[in-house]
Amino acid sequence: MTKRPYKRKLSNYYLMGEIQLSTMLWVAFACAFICVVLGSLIYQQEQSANESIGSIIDFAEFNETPGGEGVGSDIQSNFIKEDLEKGKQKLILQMILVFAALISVATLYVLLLTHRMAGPVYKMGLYFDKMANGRLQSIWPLRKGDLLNDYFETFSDVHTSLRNKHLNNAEFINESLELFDFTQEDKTRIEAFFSSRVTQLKTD
Amino acid sequence: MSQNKKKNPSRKWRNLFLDNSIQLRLIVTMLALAAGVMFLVGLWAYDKSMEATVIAHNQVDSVSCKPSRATPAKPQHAQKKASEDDVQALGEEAGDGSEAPADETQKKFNVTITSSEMEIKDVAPEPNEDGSAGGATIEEDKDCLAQMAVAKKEIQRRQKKITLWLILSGLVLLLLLFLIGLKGTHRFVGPLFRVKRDLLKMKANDFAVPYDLREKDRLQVFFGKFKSAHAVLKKMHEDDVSQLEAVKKLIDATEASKLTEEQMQFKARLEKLLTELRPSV
Repeated sequence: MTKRPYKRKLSNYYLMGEIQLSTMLWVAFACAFICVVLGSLIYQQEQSANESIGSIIDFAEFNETPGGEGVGSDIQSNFIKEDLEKGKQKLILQMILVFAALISVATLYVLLLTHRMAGPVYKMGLYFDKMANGRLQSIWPLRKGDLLNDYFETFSDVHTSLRNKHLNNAEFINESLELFDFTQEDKTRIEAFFSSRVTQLKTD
Repeated sequence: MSQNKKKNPSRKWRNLFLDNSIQLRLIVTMLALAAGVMFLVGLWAYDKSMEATVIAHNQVDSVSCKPSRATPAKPQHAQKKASEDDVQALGEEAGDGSEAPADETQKKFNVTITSSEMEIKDVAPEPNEDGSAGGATIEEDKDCLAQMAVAKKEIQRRQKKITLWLILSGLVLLLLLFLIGLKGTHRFVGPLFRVKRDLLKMKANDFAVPYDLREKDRLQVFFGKFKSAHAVLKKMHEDDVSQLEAVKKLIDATEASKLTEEQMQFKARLEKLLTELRPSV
Protein backbone atom coordinates (compact mmCIF):
# COMPACT_ATOMS: atom_id res chain seq x y z
CA MET A 1 0.00 0.00 0.00
CA THR A 2 2.99 2.34 -0.24
CA LYS A 3 2.58 2.81 -3.95
CA ARG A 4 3.17 6.31 -5.22
CA PRO A 5 -0.16 7.95 -6.05
CA TYR A 6 -0.89 8.11 -9.74
CA LYS A 7 -0.86 11.58 -11.24
CA ARG A 8 -2.92 12.70 -14.20
CA LYS A 9 -0.87 13.47 -17.29
CA LEU A 10 -2.06 15.36 -20.33
CA SER A 11 -1.16 12.43 -22.57
CA ASN A 12 -3.38 10.15 -20.51
CA TYR A 13 -6.50 12.25 -20.71
CA TYR A 14 -7.90 10.35 -23.64
CA LEU A 15 -8.80 6.98 -22.15
CA MET A 16 -12.02 5.73 -23.67
CA GLY A 17 -13.16 6.71 -27.11
CA GLU A 18 -16.60 5.31 -26.45
CA ILE A 19 -17.36 7.97 -23.88
CA GLN A 20 -14.94 10.75 -24.62
CA LEU A 21 -14.73 10.92 -28.39
CA SER A 22 -18.46 10.90 -29.01
CA THR A 23 -19.12 13.56 -26.36
CA MET A 24 -16.27 15.71 -27.62
CA LEU A 25 -17.47 15.38 -31.19
CA TRP A 26 -21.00 16.32 -30.22
CA VAL A 27 -19.89 19.42 -28.38
CA ALA A 28 -17.47 20.40 -31.15
CA PHE A 29 -20.19 19.86 -33.74
CA ALA A 30 -22.74 21.90 -31.77
CA CYS A 31 -20.27 24.75 -31.26
CA ALA A 32 -19.19 24.64 -34.89
CA PHE A 33 -22.82 24.72 -36.00
CA ILE A 34 -23.50 27.76 -33.81
CA CYS A 35 -20.35 29.45 -35.11
CA VAL A 36 -21.19 28.77 -38.75
CA VAL A 37 -24.79 29.97 -38.44
CA LEU A 38 -24.01 33.07 -36.41
CA GLY A 39 -20.80 33.66 -38.34
CA SER A 40 -22.74 33.78 -41.59
CA LEU A 41 -25.10 36.27 -39.96
CA ILE A 42 -22.16 38.43 -38.89
CA TYR A 43 -20.72 38.25 -42.39
CA GLN A 44 -24.09 39.07 -43.91
CA GLN A 45 -24.45 42.11 -41.66
CA GLU A 46 -20.93 43.27 -42.50
CA GLN A 47 -21.67 42.83 -46.20
CA SER A 48 -24.91 44.75 -45.85
CA ALA A 49 -23.18 47.57 -43.94
CA ASN A 50 -20.43 47.72 -46.54
CA GLU A 51 -22.98 47.97 -49.34
CA SER A 52 -24.74 50.78 -47.52
CA ILE A 53 -21.47 52.62 -46.96
CA GLY A 54 -20.60 52.03 -50.62
CA SER A 55 -23.80 53.66 -51.81
CA ILE A 56 -23.40 56.57 -49.40
CA ILE A 57 -19.90 57.13 -50.71
CA ASP A 58 -21.11 56.99 -54.27
CA PHE A 59 -23.42 59.91 -53.60
CA ALA A 60 -21.08 61.82 -51.41
CA GLU A 61 -19.07 64.81 -52.40
CA PHE A 62 -15.50 64.38 -51.33
CA ASN A 63 -13.17 66.95 -49.96
CA GLU A 64 -10.90 67.38 -52.87
CA THR A 65 -7.23 66.75 -52.38
CA PRO A 66 -5.13 69.90 -52.43
CA GLY A 67 -3.85 70.56 -55.93
CA GLY A 68 -5.79 67.68 -57.41
CA GLU A 69 -9.11 69.25 -58.24
CA GLY A 70 -11.70 66.79 -59.47
CA VAL A 71 -9.53 63.79 -58.95
CA GLY A 72 -9.92 63.34 -55.21
CA SER A 73 -13.39 61.82 -55.21
CA ASP A 74 -12.53 58.78 -57.31
CA ILE A 75 -9.31 58.11 -55.45
CA GLN A 76 -10.91 58.46 -52.04
CA SER A 77 -13.95 56.44 -53.05
CA ASN A 78 -11.73 53.60 -54.26
CA PHE A 79 -9.61 53.91 -51.15
CA ILE A 80 -12.66 53.53 -48.91
CA LYS A 81 -13.98 50.60 -50.90
CA GLU A 82 -10.62 48.88 -50.71
CA ASP A 83 -10.58 49.58 -47.00
CA LEU A 84 -14.03 48.05 -46.63
CA GLU A 85 -12.91 45.00 -48.57
CA LYS A 86 -9.86 44.66 -46.34
CA GLY A 87 -12.12 45.01 -43.30
CA LYS A 88 -14.24 42.17 -44.60
CA GLN A 89 -11.19 39.95 -45.06
CA LYS A 90 -10.05 40.87 -41.57
CA LEU A 91 -13.45 39.99 -40.16
CA ILE A 92 -13.36 36.55 -41.82
CA LEU A 93 -9.91 35.92 -40.36
CA GLN A 94 -11.05 37.13 -36.95
CA MET A 95 -14.09 34.87 -37.10
CA ILE A 96 -12.00 31.84 -38.06
CA LEU A 97 -9.56 32.46 -35.21
CA VAL A 98 -12.20 33.22 -32.58
CA PHE A 99 -14.39 30.28 -33.62
CA ALA A 100 -11.44 27.89 -33.68
CA ALA A 101 -10.44 29.07 -30.20
CA LEU A 102 -13.98 28.71 -28.86
CA ILE A 103 -14.43 25.23 -30.32
CA SER A 104 -11.02 24.14 -29.04
CA VAL A 105 -11.68 25.42 -25.53
CA ALA A 106 -15.10 23.76 -25.42
CA THR A 107 -13.71 20.46 -26.73
CA LEU A 108 -10.78 20.51 -24.30
CA TYR A 109 -13.12 21.18 -21.40
CA VAL A 110 -15.24 18.19 -22.44
CA LEU A 111 -12.08 16.07 -22.67
CA LEU A 112 -11.20 16.97 -19.08
CA LEU A 113 -14.73 16.36 -17.84
CA THR A 114 -15.19 13.06 -19.66
CA HIS A 115 -11.76 11.94 -18.46
CA ARG A 116 -13.12 12.08 -14.94
CA MET A 117 -15.87 9.69 -16.03
CA ALA A 118 -13.77 7.52 -18.31
CA GLY A 119 -11.15 7.03 -15.56
CA PRO A 120 -13.39 5.05 -13.19
CA VAL A 121 -14.87 3.05 -16.08
CA TYR A 122 -11.39 2.26 -17.35
CA LYS A 123 -10.31 1.24 -13.85
CA MET A 124 -13.35 -1.00 -13.39
CA GLY A 125 -12.54 -2.55 -16.77
CA LEU A 126 -9.04 -3.42 -15.54
CA TYR A 127 -10.47 -5.01 -12.41
CA PHE A 128 -12.96 -6.98 -14.50
CA ASP A 129 -10.01 -8.26 -16.53
CA LYS A 130 -8.35 -9.42 -13.32
CA MET A 131 -11.58 -11.00 -12.13
CA ALA A 132 -11.93 -12.77 -15.47
CA ASN A 133 -8.55 -14.32 -14.69
CA GLY A 134 -9.93 -15.49 -11.35
CA ARG A 135 -8.08 -12.88 -9.30
CA LEU A 136 -9.93 -10.84 -6.71
CA GLN A 137 -7.21 -8.74 -5.19
CA SER A 138 -7.85 -5.56 -3.26
CA ILE A 139 -9.13 -2.44 -5.02
CA TRP A 140 -7.54 0.99 -5.11
CA PRO A 141 -9.86 3.93 -4.51
CA LEU A 142 -10.63 6.52 -7.15
CA ARG A 143 -8.63 9.70 -7.51
CA LYS A 144 -9.92 12.95 -6.10
CA GLY A 145 -12.23 14.64 -8.55
CA ASP A 146 -13.23 11.46 -10.36
CA LEU A 147 -16.90 11.06 -11.20
CA LEU A 148 -19.08 7.92 -11.19
CA ASN A 149 -18.31 7.46 -7.50
CA ASP A 150 -21.64 5.80 -6.95
CA TYR A 151 -20.93 3.08 -9.54
CA PHE A 152 -17.39 2.57 -8.37
CA GLU A 153 -18.46 2.31 -4.75
CA THR A 154 -21.03 -0.33 -5.67
CA PHE A 155 -18.39 -2.19 -7.64
CA SER A 156 -15.89 -1.93 -4.81
CA ASP A 157 -18.48 -3.02 -2.26
CA VAL A 158 -19.57 -6.04 -4.32
CA HIS A 159 -15.96 -6.93 -5.07
CA THR A 160 -15.08 -6.90 -1.36
CA SER A 161 -18.21 -8.82 -0.51
CA LEU A 162 -17.48 -11.54 -3.10
CA ARG A 163 -13.86 -11.72 -2.03
CA ASN A 164 -14.82 -12.13 1.61
CA LYS A 165 -17.47 -14.67 0.73
CA HIS A 166 -15.02 -16.87 -1.20
CA LEU A 167 -12.40 -16.49 1.48
CA ASN A 168 -14.88 -17.40 4.23
CA ASN A 169 -16.13 -20.38 2.24
CA ALA A 170 -12.59 -21.62 1.70
CA GLU A 171 -11.70 -21.17 5.36
CA PHE A 172 -14.92 -22.88 6.39
CA ILE A 173 -14.18 -25.84 4.19
CA ASN A 174 -10.61 -25.94 5.51
CA GLU A 175 -11.95 -25.88 9.07
CA SER A 176 -13.65 -29.21 8.40
CA LEU A 177 -10.22 -30.85 8.11
CA GLU A 178 -9.59 -30.14 11.77
CA LEU A 179 -13.01 -31.35 12.90
CA PHE A 180 -13.47 -34.45 10.81
CA ASP A 181 -11.33 -37.41 10.01
CA PHE A 182 -11.52 -37.47 6.21
CA THR A 183 -9.66 -39.83 3.92
CA GLN A 184 -6.29 -38.68 2.58
CA GLU A 185 -7.78 -38.20 -0.88
CA ASP A 186 -10.51 -35.90 0.46
CA LYS A 187 -8.02 -34.01 2.57
CA THR A 188 -5.77 -33.44 -0.45
CA ARG A 189 -8.72 -32.20 -2.51
CA ILE A 190 -9.88 -29.81 0.20
CA GLU A 191 -6.35 -28.53 0.79
CA ALA A 192 -5.84 -27.94 -2.93
CA PHE A 193 -9.09 -26.04 -3.11
CA PHE A 194 -8.17 -23.91 -0.09
CA SER A 195 -4.70 -23.18 -1.42
CA SER A 196 -6.05 -22.19 -4.82
CA ARG A 197 -8.61 -19.85 -3.29
CA VAL A 198 -6.05 -18.17 -1.05
CA THR A 199 -3.83 -17.53 -4.06
CA GLN A 200 -6.74 -16.01 -5.95
CA LEU A 201 -7.83 -13.81 -3.09
CA LYS A 202 -4.55 -12.76 -1.55
CA THR A 203 -3.87 -9.05 -1.39
CA ASP A 204 -1.24 -7.38 -3.58
CA MET B 1 -27.96 -18.73 -21.97
CA SER B 2 -31.59 -18.49 -22.97
CA GLN B 3 -31.96 -15.37 -20.84
CA ASN B 4 -29.18 -13.80 -22.81
CA LYS B 5 -31.28 -13.95 -25.96
CA LYS B 6 -34.17 -12.09 -24.40
CA LYS B 7 -35.18 -9.06 -26.34
CA ASN B 8 -33.96 -5.83 -24.83
CA PRO B 9 -36.67 -3.41 -23.85
CA SER B 10 -36.92 -0.59 -26.38
CA ARG B 11 -35.59 2.81 -25.40
CA LYS B 12 -38.39 5.09 -24.29
CA TRP B 13 -38.11 8.81 -23.67
CA ARG B 14 -39.44 8.54 -20.16
CA ASN B 15 -36.77 5.97 -19.32
CA LEU B 16 -33.87 8.02 -20.62
CA PHE B 17 -33.04 9.53 -17.26
CA LEU B 18 -31.22 6.75 -15.43
CA ASP B 19 -28.72 8.66 -13.39
CA ASN B 20 -29.48 12.30 -12.81
CA SER B 21 -26.13 13.18 -11.33
CA ILE B 22 -24.10 11.95 -14.30
CA GLN B 23 -26.51 12.65 -17.13
CA LEU B 24 -27.54 16.07 -15.91
CA ARG B 25 -23.97 17.02 -15.23
CA LEU B 26 -22.91 16.13 -18.77
CA ILE B 27 -25.97 17.64 -20.39
CA VAL B 28 -25.75 20.85 -18.39
CA THR B 29 -22.06 21.13 -19.27
CA MET B 30 -22.82 20.64 -22.95
CA LEU B 31 -25.62 23.18 -22.78
CA ALA B 32 -23.50 25.66 -20.84
CA LEU B 33 -20.69 25.39 -23.36
CA ALA B 34 -23.05 25.76 -26.30
CA ALA B 35 -24.87 28.63 -24.61
CA GLY B 36 -21.56 30.32 -23.85
CA VAL B 37 -20.42 30.06 -27.45
CA MET B 38 -23.86 31.14 -28.62
CA PHE B 39 -23.88 34.11 -26.28
CA LEU B 40 -20.45 35.35 -27.33
CA VAL B 41 -20.94 34.89 -31.04
CA GLY B 42 -24.56 36.05 -30.77
CA LEU B 43 -23.42 39.23 -29.08
CA TRP B 44 -20.99 39.77 -31.91
CA ALA B 45 -23.72 39.14 -34.48
CA TYR B 46 -26.09 41.46 -32.63
CA ASP B 47 -23.44 44.17 -32.55
CA LYS B 48 -22.86 43.77 -36.27
CA SER B 49 -26.56 43.90 -37.01
CA MET B 50 -26.89 47.12 -34.97
CA GLU B 51 -23.98 48.58 -36.89
CA ALA B 52 -25.57 47.57 -40.19
CA THR B 53 -28.87 49.08 -39.07
CA VAL B 54 -27.27 52.43 -38.24
CA ILE B 55 -25.47 52.46 -41.57
CA ALA B 56 -28.65 51.50 -43.41
CA HIS B 57 -30.41 54.41 -41.68
CA ASN B 58 -27.66 56.71 -42.89
CA GLN B 59 -28.11 55.31 -46.35
CA VAL B 60 -31.82 56.10 -46.31
CA ASP B 61 -31.05 59.55 -44.97
CA SER B 62 -28.63 60.09 -47.83
CA VAL B 63 -31.55 60.10 -50.27
CA SER B 64 -33.17 63.50 -50.55
CA CYS B 65 -36.73 63.82 -51.82
CA LYS B 66 -37.26 66.63 -54.29
CA PRO B 67 -40.21 66.90 -56.63
CA SER B 68 -38.35 67.49 -59.91
CA ARG B 69 -36.90 64.01 -60.23
CA ALA B 70 -39.22 62.34 -57.80
CA THR B 71 -36.90 59.49 -57.09
CA PRO B 72 -38.65 57.63 -54.35
CA ALA B 73 -36.64 56.21 -51.56
CA LYS B 74 -36.86 52.48 -51.71
CA PRO B 75 -36.99 50.06 -48.88
CA GLN B 76 -33.69 48.75 -47.56
CA HIS B 77 -33.61 45.63 -49.72
CA ALA B 78 -34.14 47.70 -52.85
CA GLN B 79 -31.87 50.51 -51.79
CA LYS B 80 -28.68 49.18 -53.28
CA LYS B 81 -30.11 49.01 -56.80
CA ALA B 82 -31.56 52.48 -56.53
CA SER B 83 -28.24 53.79 -55.35
CA GLU B 84 -26.36 52.19 -58.20
CA ASP B 85 -28.74 53.76 -60.73
CA ASP B 86 -28.24 57.11 -59.14
CA VAL B 87 -24.48 56.74 -59.12
CA GLN B 88 -24.54 56.07 -62.83
CA ALA B 89 -26.69 59.13 -63.43
CA LEU B 90 -24.42 61.32 -61.38
CA GLY B 91 -21.32 59.89 -62.95
CA GLU B 92 -22.60 60.60 -66.42
CA GLU B 93 -23.46 64.13 -65.50
CA ALA B 94 -20.28 64.87 -63.65
CA GLY B 95 -18.03 62.91 -65.95
CA ASP B 96 -16.92 65.98 -67.89
CA GLY B 97 -15.92 67.72 -64.72
CA SER B 98 -19.01 69.93 -64.67
CA GLU B 99 -21.09 70.31 -61.51
CA ALA B 100 -24.05 68.04 -60.97
CA PRO B 101 -27.27 69.73 -62.02
CA ALA B 102 -29.01 71.86 -59.44
CA ASP B 103 -32.09 69.63 -59.33
CA GLU B 104 -30.30 66.40 -58.54
CA THR B 105 -32.19 64.47 -55.96
CA GLN B 106 -29.35 63.24 -53.78
CA LYS B 107 -28.21 64.99 -50.65
CA LYS B 108 -24.60 65.96 -50.70
CA PHE B 109 -22.07 64.86 -48.13
CA ASN B 110 -18.57 65.71 -47.18
CA VAL B 111 -16.60 62.53 -46.62
CA THR B 112 -13.38 63.01 -44.71
CA ILE B 113 -11.05 60.07 -44.40
CA THR B 114 -8.33 59.90 -41.84
CA SER B 115 -6.10 56.83 -41.45
CA SER B 116 -8.76 54.76 -39.70
CA GLU B 117 -12.02 56.64 -39.68
CA MET B 118 -14.51 57.92 -42.14
CA GLU B 119 -16.63 60.93 -41.27
CA ILE B 120 -19.69 61.74 -43.27
CA LYS B 121 -21.24 65.19 -42.96
CA ASP B 122 -24.18 66.77 -44.73
CA VAL B 123 -23.20 69.52 -47.12
CA ALA B 124 -25.30 72.60 -46.62
CA PRO B 125 -27.39 73.33 -49.73
CA GLU B 126 -26.07 76.13 -51.87
CA PRO B 127 -28.01 79.38 -51.48
CA ASN B 128 -30.44 80.29 -54.21
CA GLU B 129 -29.81 83.19 -56.53
CA ASP B 130 -32.11 85.40 -54.45
CA GLY B 131 -30.01 84.69 -51.40
CA SER B 132 -32.50 82.42 -49.64
CA ALA B 133 -31.46 79.09 -48.19
CA GLY B 134 -30.96 76.49 -50.95
CA GLY B 135 -33.06 73.64 -49.65
CA ALA B 136 -35.80 75.72 -48.22
CA THR B 137 -37.39 76.67 -51.50
CA ILE B 138 -37.67 73.13 -52.81
CA GLU B 139 -40.53 71.13 -51.42
CA GLU B 140 -39.75 67.60 -50.74
CA ASP B 141 -41.94 64.97 -52.32
CA LYS B 142 -44.42 63.68 -49.73
CA ASP B 143 -44.58 60.26 -51.37
CA CYS B 144 -40.86 59.99 -51.25
CA LEU B 145 -40.78 60.96 -47.59
CA ALA B 146 -43.44 58.39 -46.82
CA GLN B 147 -41.41 55.74 -48.59
CA MET B 148 -38.31 56.77 -46.68
CA ALA B 149 -40.24 56.30 -43.47
CA VAL B 150 -41.35 52.89 -44.71
CA ALA B 151 -37.77 52.01 -45.53
CA LYS B 152 -36.63 53.03 -42.04
CA LYS B 153 -39.42 51.01 -40.49
CA GLU B 154 -38.36 48.07 -42.64
CA ILE B 155 -34.81 48.42 -41.37
CA GLN B 156 -36.03 48.50 -37.78
CA ARG B 157 -38.27 45.52 -38.42
CA ARG B 158 -35.32 43.64 -39.88
CA GLN B 159 -33.21 44.46 -36.84
CA LYS B 160 -35.94 43.20 -34.52
CA LYS B 161 -36.33 40.10 -36.67
CA ILE B 162 -32.62 39.35 -36.35
CA THR B 163 -32.74 39.77 -32.57
CA LEU B 164 -35.80 37.56 -32.30
CA TRP B 165 -34.23 35.02 -34.64
CA LEU B 166 -31.09 34.96 -32.51
CA ILE B 167 -33.07 34.32 -29.33
CA LEU B 168 -35.44 31.74 -30.82
CA SER B 169 -32.77 29.81 -32.70
CA GLY B 170 -30.68 29.80 -29.51
CA LEU B 171 -33.53 28.33 -27.51
CA VAL B 172 -34.36 25.74 -30.17
CA LEU B 173 -30.72 24.74 -30.41
CA LEU B 174 -30.43 24.39 -26.63
CA LEU B 175 -33.56 22.25 -26.55
CA LEU B 176 -32.19 20.07 -29.35
CA LEU B 177 -28.89 19.75 -27.54
CA PHE B 178 -30.70 18.76 -24.36
CA LEU B 179 -32.56 15.96 -26.16
CA ILE B 180 -29.44 14.79 -27.99
CA GLY B 181 -27.48 14.95 -24.72
CA LEU B 182 -30.14 12.98 -22.91
CA LYS B 183 -30.15 10.23 -25.53
CA GLY B 184 -26.37 10.28 -25.91
CA THR B 185 -25.65 10.04 -22.19
CA HIS B 186 -28.25 7.30 -21.80
CA ARG B 187 -26.22 5.19 -24.19
CA PHE B 188 -23.31 4.95 -21.82
CA VAL B 189 -25.08 5.42 -18.51
CA GLY B 190 -27.40 2.54 -19.50
CA PRO B 191 -24.61 -0.08 -19.57
CA LEU B 192 -23.17 1.28 -16.31
CA PHE B 193 -26.59 1.09 -14.73
CA ARG B 194 -26.95 -2.49 -15.93
CA VAL B 195 -23.52 -3.48 -14.61
CA LYS B 196 -24.40 -1.95 -11.25
CA ARG B 197 -27.67 -3.90 -11.14
CA ASP B 198 -25.96 -7.18 -12.06
CA LEU B 199 -23.21 -6.57 -9.49
CA LEU B 200 -25.84 -6.14 -6.78
CA LYS B 201 -27.49 -9.36 -7.96
CA MET B 202 -24.15 -11.14 -7.68
CA LYS B 203 -23.76 -9.84 -4.16
CA ALA B 204 -27.11 -11.48 -3.40
CA ASN B 205 -25.78 -14.74 -4.91
CA ASP B 206 -27.86 -14.34 -8.07
CA PHE B 207 -25.58 -15.23 -10.96
CA ALA B 208 -28.13 -15.14 -13.78
CA VAL B 209 -26.47 -14.43 -17.13
CA PRO B 210 -26.62 -10.70 -17.87
CA TYR B 211 -28.53 -9.34 -20.83
CA ASP B 212 -26.57 -8.22 -23.87
CA LEU B 213 -26.44 -4.51 -24.46
CA ARG B 214 -28.45 -2.78 -27.15
CA GLU B 215 -26.68 -2.46 -30.48
CA LYS B 216 -26.26 1.29 -30.21
CA ASP B 217 -25.20 1.27 -26.58
CA ARG B 218 -21.70 2.42 -25.81
CA LEU B 219 -19.18 0.68 -23.51
CA GLN B 220 -19.55 -2.60 -25.39
CA VAL B 221 -15.92 -3.55 -24.65
CA PHE B 222 -16.33 -2.68 -20.98
CA PHE B 223 -19.52 -4.73 -20.79
CA GLY B 224 -17.74 -7.63 -22.51
CA LYS B 225 -15.11 -7.52 -19.74
CA PHE B 226 -17.85 -7.50 -17.13
CA LYS B 227 -19.47 -10.55 -18.71
CA SER B 228 -16.18 -12.44 -18.70
CA ALA B 229 -15.66 -11.54 -15.03
CA HIS B 230 -19.25 -12.51 -14.32
CA ALA B 231 -18.74 -15.94 -15.90
CA VAL B 232 -15.60 -16.57 -13.84
CA LEU B 233 -17.26 -15.41 -10.62
CA LYS B 234 -20.20 -17.65 -11.34
CA LYS B 235 -17.79 -20.57 -11.79
CA MET B 236 -16.06 -19.72 -8.52
CA HIS B 237 -19.41 -19.61 -6.78
CA GLU B 238 -20.38 -22.97 -8.21
CA ASP B 239 -17.01 -24.43 -7.15
CA ASP B 240 -17.57 -23.19 -3.62
CA VAL B 241 -21.01 -24.76 -3.53
CA SER B 242 -19.80 -28.07 -4.94
CA GLN B 243 -16.93 -28.19 -2.41
CA LEU B 244 -19.33 -27.44 0.43
CA GLU B 245 -21.70 -30.12 -0.83
CA ALA B 246 -18.84 -32.61 -1.01
CA VAL B 247 -17.94 -31.84 2.60
CA LYS B 248 -21.59 -32.20 3.58
CA LYS B 249 -21.74 -35.59 1.90
CA LEU B 250 -18.69 -36.70 3.84
CA ILE B 251 -20.24 -35.50 7.09
CA ASP B 252 -23.59 -37.12 6.22
CA ALA B 253 -21.77 -40.40 5.71
CA THR B 254 -20.79 -40.29 9.37
CA GLU B 255 -23.40 -41.52 11.84
CA ALA B 256 -25.14 -38.65 13.58
CA SER B 257 -24.72 -40.23 17.00
CA LYS B 258 -20.98 -40.21 16.59
CA LEU B 259 -20.78 -36.45 15.91
CA THR B 260 -19.47 -34.22 18.67
CA GLU B 261 -21.18 -30.99 19.68
CA GLU B 262 -18.66 -29.01 17.70
CA GLN B 263 -19.16 -31.18 14.63
CA MET B 264 -22.92 -30.80 14.95
CA GLN B 265 -22.56 -27.04 15.05
CA PHE B 266 -20.33 -27.16 12.01
CA LYS B 267 -22.87 -29.25 10.15
CA ALA B 268 -25.65 -26.81 11.01
CA ARG B 269 -23.55 -23.88 9.79
CA LEU B 270 -22.74 -25.78 6.63
CA GLU B 271 -26.39 -26.46 5.90
CA LYS B 272 -27.27 -22.85 6.51
CA LEU B 273 -24.50 -21.67 4.24
CA LEU B 274 -25.60 -24.04 1.48
CA THR B 275 -29.16 -22.79 1.76
CA GLU B 276 -27.89 -19.27 1.25
CA LEU B 277 -25.76 -20.18 -1.73
CA ARG B 278 -27.75 -22.91 -3.47
CA PRO B 279 -30.87 -21.30 -4.87
CA SER B 280 -28.87 -18.96 -6.99
CA VAL B 281 -26.92 -21.67 -8.80
